[in-house]
Amino acid sequence: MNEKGIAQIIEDYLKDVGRVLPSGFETEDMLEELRIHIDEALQDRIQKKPLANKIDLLREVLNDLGEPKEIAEEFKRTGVLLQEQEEGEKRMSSLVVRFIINMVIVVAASWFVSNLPDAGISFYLALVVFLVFGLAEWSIRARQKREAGRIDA
Amino acid sequence: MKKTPSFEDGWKVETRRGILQYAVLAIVSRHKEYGIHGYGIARELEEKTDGLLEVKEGTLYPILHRLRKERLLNVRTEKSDTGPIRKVYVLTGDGDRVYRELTIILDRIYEKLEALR
Repeated sequence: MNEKGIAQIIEDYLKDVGRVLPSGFETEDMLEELRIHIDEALQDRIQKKPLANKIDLLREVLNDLGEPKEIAEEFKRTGVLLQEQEEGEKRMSSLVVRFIINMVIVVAASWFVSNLPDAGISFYLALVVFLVFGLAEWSIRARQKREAGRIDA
Repeated sequence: MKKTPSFEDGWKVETRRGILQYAVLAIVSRHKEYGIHGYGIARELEEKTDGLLEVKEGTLYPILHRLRKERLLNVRTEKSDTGPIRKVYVLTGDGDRVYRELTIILDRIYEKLEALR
């Protein structure tokens, strides 16, 4: 088996680990760390045993790392990912609620404006105008939040 | 049939878990100046304890993430020997304080346990 085979075994292992962990930034981050760990551990072993079969050495490295489910159990125990996931879910539900409220306001405002005497604007045109304003405000706020986050960091 | 772990096996697992977080802080504390990367921590843990803690190296990463969340460790990045950028862990001020406190607690526990034997 060649270098391609080694890369495939590593990919399969990382995929298995990724499968038993909730998807998210933390998991991606940890998979990258595991990949570097595997590369370094393998190079270390190859240097120490240059004549040994590389696949066997890789198996040793993966065995030392542990089964994907053992890593997942430790993550569950430390509660890091679960907490992240819960926070993510909360953020998502708050986003959905805010979106629905904003849409109700935009529709109501469009209806009100289009029904004003001598308004001269149709409901749909008012809706588009309010939506554009709403999106512009949303993106400005998001940018301000990102900048504030960078300053905090 | 699944074998039920013996009492001493279960006890070892529980004890090891508690000690492992302390051991990670201790290792990072030994590398105050430049910090240490994940694989380095795993190597040092194996070498300094002669494998006594029987740690599966992959389980160190959830612990490192936890210690970061608790703001006991900080991370900086550097280029690894194999090429990609890797994380290097360093102790924060809080991490140093907690490590010292845990050391005192552990010393006292061992001292009292010794008196019990």
